[in-house]
Amino acid sequence: MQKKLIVFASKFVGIYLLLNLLYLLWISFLGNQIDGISELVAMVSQKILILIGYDVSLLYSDLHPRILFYLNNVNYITVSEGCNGVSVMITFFASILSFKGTAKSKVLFLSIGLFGVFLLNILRVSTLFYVALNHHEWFSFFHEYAFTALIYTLVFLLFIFWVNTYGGSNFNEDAGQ
Amino acid sequence: MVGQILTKMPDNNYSTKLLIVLIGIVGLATAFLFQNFDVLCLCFNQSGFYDFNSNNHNEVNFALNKLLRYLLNTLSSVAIIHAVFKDSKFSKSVTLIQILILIIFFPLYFYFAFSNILLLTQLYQKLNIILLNPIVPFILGISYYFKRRKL
Repeated sequence: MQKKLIVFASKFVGIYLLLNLLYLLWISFLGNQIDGISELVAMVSQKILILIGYDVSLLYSDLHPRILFYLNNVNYITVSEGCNGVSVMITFFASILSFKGTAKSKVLFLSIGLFGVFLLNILRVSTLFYVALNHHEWFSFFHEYAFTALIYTLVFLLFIFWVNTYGGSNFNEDAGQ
Repeated sequence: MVGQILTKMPDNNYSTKLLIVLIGIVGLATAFLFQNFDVLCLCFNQSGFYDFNSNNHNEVNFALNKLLRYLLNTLSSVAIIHAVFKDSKFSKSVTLIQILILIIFFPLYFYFAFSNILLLTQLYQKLNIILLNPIVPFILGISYYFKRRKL
């Protein structure tokens, strides 16, 4: 079992690091230009905020790859590479990919799961704007703790659902021990 | 859910298991909530245990705080895993994997953290997520739980 566990953990950590490295190479290739995923997150969040009554405008920073959220000429939050949820998506991707299961079920579940993480991240950015605007003293708590815990809890719940529904056992050789 | 898992485990004292799981959860919560506190400085500043005015204070302090968090996460996760599954072989395997991660990745993690190269500092942030949160023990635990349930 020990060998199987080490192989499983190595696969997970290896896929996680490789995907992050590729992602960061892409980010550094873009230079001062904001990446497409962060831009999409910012734009959808802006639409949601407008829908609920906040006339938010976006401003692209000239100095850094960042998008600033403005309301009445005041900047409340900033979206950059670290806010786009890709790290969480990569964690989810690596956990599903390193586990046993059919390719078809993996593709299907990854698509649904990644979309779920994307939606939750949109909700996170929109809520953070609301918190920054109305309860600024709570911003740091929500940004650093509450939403990090919430998003990773979702990833673990999705992983549990995946293993329970589609996943095969990675440690089958020990059956009966 | 934890309660459901615990009741399914035969031949074990339920209240002891629950206590260990609760202590483990408190350990994980402490490591998470106090991630921005300089625990070392808070605990030992007045004790003379460590020279907080030395030249490399920031680097040493940073490294020790991160190691402390990793240690607390590992101990708490292994305690939970051991209380829930009562399988010494599995608990030892998870501990071994955590030790291997510590030996292989922490030197790289600290090198990236103090690097001036942008790509490496960005990689440090990504390593930070996987090393300083109990992601690996959790994934191993979940996989093992479903393996046992399917047997």
